[in-house]
Amino acid sequence: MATPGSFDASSQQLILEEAAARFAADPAAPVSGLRRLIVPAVADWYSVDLVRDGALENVALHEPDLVKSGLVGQLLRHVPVASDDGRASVDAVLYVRDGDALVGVGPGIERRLDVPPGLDLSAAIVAPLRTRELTLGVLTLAASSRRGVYTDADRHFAEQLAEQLALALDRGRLRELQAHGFTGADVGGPQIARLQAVTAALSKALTRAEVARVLVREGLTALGAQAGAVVEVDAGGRELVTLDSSGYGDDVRAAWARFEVAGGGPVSEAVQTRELVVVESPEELASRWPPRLAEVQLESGDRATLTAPLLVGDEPVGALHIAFRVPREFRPDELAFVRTLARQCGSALERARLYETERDAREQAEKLATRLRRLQTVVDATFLTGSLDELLRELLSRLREAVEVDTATILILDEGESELVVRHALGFGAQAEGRVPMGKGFAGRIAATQTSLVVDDVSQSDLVSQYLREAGLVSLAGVPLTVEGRTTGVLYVGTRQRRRFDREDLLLLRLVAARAAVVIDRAEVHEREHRIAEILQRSLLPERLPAIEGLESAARYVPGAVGVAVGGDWYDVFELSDGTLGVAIGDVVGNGVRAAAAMGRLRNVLRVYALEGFGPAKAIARLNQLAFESRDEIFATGVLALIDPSRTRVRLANAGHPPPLLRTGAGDVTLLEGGRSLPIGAAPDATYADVELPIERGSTLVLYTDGLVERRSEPIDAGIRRLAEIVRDATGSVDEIADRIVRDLESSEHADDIALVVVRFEPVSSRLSLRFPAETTSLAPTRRAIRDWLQGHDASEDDIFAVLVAVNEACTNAIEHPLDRRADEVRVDAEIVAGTVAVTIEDSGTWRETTPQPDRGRGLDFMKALMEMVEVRKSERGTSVHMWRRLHRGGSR
Amino acid sequence: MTGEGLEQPISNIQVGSDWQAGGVAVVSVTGEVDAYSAGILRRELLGVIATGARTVVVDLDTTTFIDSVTLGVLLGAVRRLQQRQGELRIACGNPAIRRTFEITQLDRVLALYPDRATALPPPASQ
Repeated sequence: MATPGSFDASSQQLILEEAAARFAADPAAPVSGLRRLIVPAVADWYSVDLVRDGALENVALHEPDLVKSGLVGQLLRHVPVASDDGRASVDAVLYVRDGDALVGVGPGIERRLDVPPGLDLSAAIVAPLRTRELTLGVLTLAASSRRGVYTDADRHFAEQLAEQLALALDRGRLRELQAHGFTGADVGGPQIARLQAVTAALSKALTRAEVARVLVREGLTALGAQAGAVVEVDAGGRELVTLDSSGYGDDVRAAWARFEVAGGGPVSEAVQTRELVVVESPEELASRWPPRLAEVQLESGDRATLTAPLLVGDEPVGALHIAFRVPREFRPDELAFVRTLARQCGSALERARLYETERDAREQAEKLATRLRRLQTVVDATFLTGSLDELLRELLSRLREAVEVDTATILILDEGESELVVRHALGFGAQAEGRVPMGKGFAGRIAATQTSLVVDDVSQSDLVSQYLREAGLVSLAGVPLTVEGRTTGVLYVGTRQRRRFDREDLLLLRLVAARAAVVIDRAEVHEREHRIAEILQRSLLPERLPAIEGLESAARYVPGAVGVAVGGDWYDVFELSDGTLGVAIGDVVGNGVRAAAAMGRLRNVLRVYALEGFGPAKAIARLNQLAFESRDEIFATGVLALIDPSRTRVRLANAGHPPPLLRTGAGDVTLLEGGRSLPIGAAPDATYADVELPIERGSTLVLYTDGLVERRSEPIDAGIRRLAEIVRDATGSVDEIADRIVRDLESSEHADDIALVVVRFEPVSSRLSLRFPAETTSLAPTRRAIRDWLQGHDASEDDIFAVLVAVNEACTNAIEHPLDRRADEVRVDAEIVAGTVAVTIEDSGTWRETTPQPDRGRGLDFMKALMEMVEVRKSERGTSVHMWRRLHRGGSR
Repeated sequence: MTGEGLEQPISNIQVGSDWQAGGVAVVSVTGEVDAYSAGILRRELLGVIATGARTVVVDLDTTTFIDSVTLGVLLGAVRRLQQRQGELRIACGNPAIRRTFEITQLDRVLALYPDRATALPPPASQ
């Protein structure tokens, strides 16, 4: 208990519930169970006094001192129990101790009761025991000084307890009356049993229709009647509605479905006079009502009828009509039976009516709760994914459903704050009106005043624009969207039928508007960042891959959806000074501008390490160390692959990245699973190892980020498998392959960025054609080109050495020995045909026959020693050397 | 295409020399020697001979390519040293380089040794 003297709300609720259960369990003696409920939980003493013959009589008491002292008598003197107007409102009265007296608390209560000396009493509550009809007595609760004083909340509780007790007492009283009625002399024995059956059946009937059905069936059976009906006075009090009938044809039922109370006839009379109407023959019918009414009655087949009013208190609520097809006289016990039945019927009907009202109210409340719940979940759900437009569409469509309107529109205040721009609209046939000036029209007014606005009928309002009228809208309701006190837009709904929007509708609108405002605001910030990150990302990624001889390459970058991710994925293709090819891919965890910037840094650093000569594992290990030295938290996955200048071997290391794919020219696809270690930034002492493997000319290497293969609905392996299948079947240029991969694998589910690099080591042509200036600086690159070309053809190291030296000598001669240099170009054309390499070196000058320097001129000896045939041709156009050598394959490395 | 800002070298050659006791100069050649880079080697050899080297050891251990011009440079150095009662010794373990000498039968003319240690003249002879 929170404070002494006052009992907390949950305990009170428990007591009320227990009281209800106890009273129901023992309806005959509700008072008997009271003591254990009340003492000491809510009072130290209590008293129940009931009205008997106009005076109060104590029926239950705890603490005789209260009575002995005469205090109860004093308290009760002020309770208007004698009021015979049962409907008078009498509230419970709270008394608190003031000196030697108890003083009534509340407006208009000026009561002072002396407390006898020695009586430890600090407060009391006197609560009348009332039913709808009358006051049955008084419940008195009293507290000792230990408990303290009662509060107004306690008084309210006492009223509720008293009400329950009164209902229980009333039920007991009714039972007694019923029991008395059943044993009365005017009701026959068999009919008593019948009434008991009716009581049992009625207790199961919940609705008015059910009550009516029970009454008609039981009434007819008990009396052996052929037809009958139960009618009810409708809400307006002027008409009677047939709730149930039996024994009448369709025509009659239709004619009597609804008729006027004042229409005349037995039913009307019973309702109007509140008396049982007995008609024993057609003649009696004709004598009592005008011919037309009598005729109508006879047409229904009735020849003798008993019609009893159904009363609640004194109020007629309907009638029970029992009819016979032949004239007959009724016995007194039959009349008594019908009266009793009708009496029960009245209260059963009333109970059913209350039940239905309560049920309807509950259903309505549930419907509202469901509506709110649906709206809530919808709003919550829309926070999860999707672009702003998808989100608003969802929000508006659910709003439309929840408040049952035809159109729903969200407008956003533009940056100049002078106009509202329609951001999304549903329910307008064509394009919704685009712009509304601030302060103008319906939406403009809402935005300008920052208050909600309802227009019941646009034809009665000069606020509404022509546009909305033409859209056929009749009623409108709108609320402002606000973020941190500033208006950011307007949300409004409209109907094409006249509709009166109520408080509850506006509440829903405000709820949705509040969420929408936040979502829009957040999304705008997000979209802006997404845009910046994408620009940054694209600016940091190479727009075009470098053109490297013998290499076909393509790269793709696809940003993630708005609201999800952009930034962080990178790729790189570069060539080292010795002709080694570097291919890198990576994925920085995180998104947005920071991730994009980190990506740019990692990409450049990794490239620099590779250019400085670090192998893949060493370069990645250094990057990892750098990540731990960085102020920013960096976490990334990546692969660096270095392909040697001859393009026959690849060396790679993998920092927690999905494995690259290698496809041979024949279409075999291998996952390069080796060389995998921890992501960059995972552990400062992570170690990385290179894996090296041979590659064939014509092979294709595919590197990608997980955005390509990862889907929420399936494991990443499935995505990699699918990628492998696409790569296996891929033909065409690397650009076509890259397009195909992105097209086939990018799905609406792809949330992350996608980066992809495809490189193919072109099959070596059987021909080599070099053109270079006649400078000695051209010699080294020429040798490298010839070495790469021959390695590509799997020539042995001996063959490569021989051709290299011979061609070098021929080129040296072409560069150094012309007598008259007429052109500056040297041409080398080589071809492999049937395992034999043939090379032609041409210049446009004439070689000297002998060299001026004794230590020069061994070139021709070299050529002849190394090649199987050497032929020098001189012409006016210049000198050409032809030579060839059979290759011994398979000796490469 | 080359890496960012990095010039692709036209010839990978590094030539250096150091002096040993008894007027022995060791000239080390790393990389490829061709018509372009042979001049660098020639200048180095002429330099150590002019400085007074009696014995010059050319260490071709880290040399990956030589051509006829290189051979001419080496023969020129041999002649110059012979005029001064000196000698040229060549350390050459690389089979491809050795083959170049063999093709021109210069292996019979030049003093070739499998490595630098054996190419150095024994201290006793000094």
